[in-house]
Amino acid sequence: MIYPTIFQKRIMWGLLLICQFYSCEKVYDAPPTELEAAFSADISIKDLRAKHVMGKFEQINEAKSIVAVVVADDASDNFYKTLVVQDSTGGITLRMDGIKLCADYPVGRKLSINLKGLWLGDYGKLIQLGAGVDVSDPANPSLVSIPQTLFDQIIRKGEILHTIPAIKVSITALNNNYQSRLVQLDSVEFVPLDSAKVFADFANKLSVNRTLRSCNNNTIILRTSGYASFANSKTPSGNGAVTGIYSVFGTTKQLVIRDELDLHLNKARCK
Amino acid sequence: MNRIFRMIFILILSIQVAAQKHQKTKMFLDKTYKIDSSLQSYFGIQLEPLNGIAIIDEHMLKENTENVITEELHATRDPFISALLFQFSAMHFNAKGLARNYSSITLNGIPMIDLSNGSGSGNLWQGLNGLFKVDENNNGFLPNSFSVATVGTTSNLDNRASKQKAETNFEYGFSNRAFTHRFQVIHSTGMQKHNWAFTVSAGGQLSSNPQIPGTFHQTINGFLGVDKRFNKQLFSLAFFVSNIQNARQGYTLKESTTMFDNPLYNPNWGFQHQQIRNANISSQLLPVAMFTHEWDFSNQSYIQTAIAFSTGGKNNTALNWFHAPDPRPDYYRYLPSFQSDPILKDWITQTLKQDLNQRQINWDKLFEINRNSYEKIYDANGIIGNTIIGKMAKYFVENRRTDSKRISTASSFHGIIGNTLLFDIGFSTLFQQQHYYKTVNDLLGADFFVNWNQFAENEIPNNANAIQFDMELPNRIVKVGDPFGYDYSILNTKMETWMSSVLPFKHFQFSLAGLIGSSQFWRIGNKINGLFPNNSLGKSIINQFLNTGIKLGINYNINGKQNLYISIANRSDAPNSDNSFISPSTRGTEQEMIKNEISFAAELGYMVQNKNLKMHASLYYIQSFNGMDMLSFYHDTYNSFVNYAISGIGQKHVGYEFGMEARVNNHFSLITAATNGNHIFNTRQFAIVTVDNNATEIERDIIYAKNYPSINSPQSAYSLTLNVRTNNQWFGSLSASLFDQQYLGWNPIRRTAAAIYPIDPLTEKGQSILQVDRLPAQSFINCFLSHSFRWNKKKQEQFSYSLSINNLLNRQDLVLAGFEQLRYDFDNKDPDKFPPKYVHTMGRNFLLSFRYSF
Repeated sequence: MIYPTIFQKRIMWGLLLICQFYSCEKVYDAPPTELEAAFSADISIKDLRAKHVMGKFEQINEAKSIVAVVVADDASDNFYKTLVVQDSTGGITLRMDGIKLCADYPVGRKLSINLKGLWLGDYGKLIQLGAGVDVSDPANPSLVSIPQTLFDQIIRKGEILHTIPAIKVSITALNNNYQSRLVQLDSVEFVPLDSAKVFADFANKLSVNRTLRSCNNNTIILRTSGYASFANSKTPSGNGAVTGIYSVFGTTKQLVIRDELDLHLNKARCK
Repeated sequence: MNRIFRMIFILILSIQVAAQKHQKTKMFLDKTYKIDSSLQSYFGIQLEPLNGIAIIDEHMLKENTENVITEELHATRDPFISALLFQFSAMHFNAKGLARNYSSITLNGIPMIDLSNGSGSGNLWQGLNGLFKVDENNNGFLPNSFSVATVGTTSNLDNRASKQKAETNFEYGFSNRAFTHRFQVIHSTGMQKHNWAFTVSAGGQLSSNPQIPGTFHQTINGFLGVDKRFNKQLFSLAFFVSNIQNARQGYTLKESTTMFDNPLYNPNWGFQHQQIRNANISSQLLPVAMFTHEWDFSNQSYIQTAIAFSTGGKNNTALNWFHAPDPRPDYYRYLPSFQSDPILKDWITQTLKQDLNQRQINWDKLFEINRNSYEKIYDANGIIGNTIIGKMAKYFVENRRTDSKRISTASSFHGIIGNTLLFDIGFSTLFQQQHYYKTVNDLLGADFFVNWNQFAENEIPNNANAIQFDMELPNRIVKVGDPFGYDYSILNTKMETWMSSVLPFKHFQFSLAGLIGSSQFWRIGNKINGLFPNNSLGKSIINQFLNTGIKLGINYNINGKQNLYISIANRSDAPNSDNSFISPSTRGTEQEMIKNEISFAAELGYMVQNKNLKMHASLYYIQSFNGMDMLSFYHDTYNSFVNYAISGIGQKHVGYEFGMEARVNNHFSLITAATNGNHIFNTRQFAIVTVDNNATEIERDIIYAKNYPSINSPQSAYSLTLNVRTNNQWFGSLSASLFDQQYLGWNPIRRTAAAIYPIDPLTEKGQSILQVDRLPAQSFINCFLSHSFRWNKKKQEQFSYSLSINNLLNRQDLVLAGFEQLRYDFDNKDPDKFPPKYVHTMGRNFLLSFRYSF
């Protein structure tokens, strides 16, 4: 009634054009699941460990890689900025400068680690891989953790395995070849003094050593961080199998569990 | 043609009558004139504000409402305000160093402000500016007919259909600024025989290849206006909407921009399956319906009443993460500066330079992590024994929604009493409800998220329910579109009665303006938060305030062309709700002492208006006390988010403003503008520090803020513009502007004893913590060219086009703004651990516009 027809037409035309412009709402494609192709190792962890002299630091200059599976991550915070990986020949501890590593590198994930530029070192004789050496305290040089920005450069990710068999071993048989490997000790229990005690000092965030013993009284320390989510839980009083990562501090043998599910102590204690 | 042009020019100059009396009388006598006197119609083409840049505010938990692109009001009669809008806006320059909430915008008399923080709501009609005619645009110190502003600028806009020129307009713009294409159609009938007027308009803006990587801008707008006149009564209906979407630019560290040799590096985006995706997209859809009534009951007086309804919302998307590393590529731990080993620094630098997925968000990786994130949720959805197994999102995109409802009314009388007294009086009532909540935007390949508060996990040993955002439905499984997290409303009301009067004598005009009003705000929590089960749900106390203001002015009319004036003002303004609630997302707790902000202001000015010269020079002084602020950030020493409730903020702003437009001859005119101020905080401030998760008070600090510069606007700005006009409708303009005395937005937390002790403040290290960096002076050269012509001189048909180029010299290194991060290294007192962040201006940018009207 008001507009001349020609105006109406032009306006309609304009509106249509605009609608055409804006009808495209952004929809993003979900990316495909592309896992890295199967990879093969150039060097075994055993051979890599053999390059290390205790107390020294060695840089790896060859473009070699190990292929390993994650056996311990930081899901329960008992391991901190650390991944423990193993292949069929041995295990090694990776010093990783990141938190919530378990999001990207959960237990069971296969990894290919490019060693070029990384450093071997040890902390209390526990052999570790890092990205440099910190000499700010010349008396106590230490390994520098791998910066988070370099994770994707150094580590390629593979599939996630759902079961990793632990190596069954006795306390006495444990030696440095078992370092950073997932081991299972059968028929062990916490010594009476350490039974039904908290794993660690959660309030003060202090690590605590508890002692495990076999029925023939061989002992090993079970060390737990005060930051572990289960630090405030009580150690079980029964006897049975304990799975964990074998570790050392100097000459002290230690076992570190990933979480409470590593303990199967529901049988009767030793006589 | 030249004569016509000169006549228009003289006409425009002539309305710049110095005495308010003249201006006002003109308004009453010639109401159709006032709406068409804008620079915009002068140039025949809509000018684009400089460098509309979208920015993101890093101040944690503080949503910046000004980060969407706002188009400035674009018309003025004052040469200084003209420079402010066209030249100084490039640097987000704030006149007199005042934040935007000191300025007022009214639309058909209704204050258009967001009551929660006092900022203007100009972006409600983004893209439709051509229809929002500037009725009045003024220095707040001068008498105004629609509000009692005191210090900032004040504008009244008019969007009624009968005020629009009867024509049909097609406009197209092409640009490399925030948008690439702009399109607008306007059809106005003007007041027709049967006293009806109609305006309809639609348009939009779209970016396809923005200068700033990863950003986009998209607007679609519409306007419908109907006016009907019955004798002396004018009834107007207007409906307008502007749907805005912006993918935003992030503030960057100097380290990143230097490393990538790109000042426009934007960490907010990354590739998702080869598509660019920005994590921070803001959008707004707030349609407004208005009814306006004007009753011109005599030649000299009228009453205008308006009511406006608005309902809709704003949304900002952001990445959220739970039990996973920080996905932001410029997180400080991911940068070379975090390393001390030079080899590693270099290794990381090379990695970031070579691998785009490391320096931008790696969306594919986030998907990959989510796909392997199997979790067992016990007692899900509050049902004991209900176990859900699936992929729980470690990363997801959230919507931070603010739904608003506003009802505003305003009514005012404007007239002359007893032949001489110019008198305006009015009242307004504003009601605003804002509902804040989050929803899940995209689970990035996961199946669900659980309504848990990850920042509260540390509280679990003391409070098993701490992580529950909603105690009534614990462990709720949330999927795309579901609400989660905080859920509360803030309600604000404001009522105001004001009057403004001018009593003119032969040489002196006295003006008096005053206001009295009340404002209220309160919070309503909609969920019982596990952290604060006792004060998260329900209504908080209602805060009530009395607002007052008075402004006195004397104008001495020296000889009809020169005026000298002095204006003094005193105000008492209620604090706004944003600065009063300590942590509104979890509880209704407020600052300990909530008081009105008191301000005193004065301006002494001199104006010249004659045929060849328009000049305005003024000195201003503004002092305010009792300001408040709320800051929240992650405190490394307490390993927790903390809230700094700051009070006792006092500011002093002293300076001059100068604007001059000189007509050299019929073709050339010169506009110069200069302002230089000393804008400082001049009181020590007081902060109460609480832990966000349990409201424990941990510190009471004095902030040693005395003599620190005011934040985030250059304090001095200068510009020179040469306008050239030819007889055959060409217009050209070349301008240069310079900005200086801009300081980093400084972090008050660094100016406390806790932040510096035991370092001696006089040592170099002490000074590095306390000193505020001054940004280098910045300069721009801009040019503008336009031409209009008619094919058929008898017809109204007109075609015009224009080109505007800003930053002609393509300076890439100009810093628009910068601020110190709130997060501070309390343990080692190293100010460089969390270094300042900056945003840079665009390089050379242009807008090419075409307009066809008939």
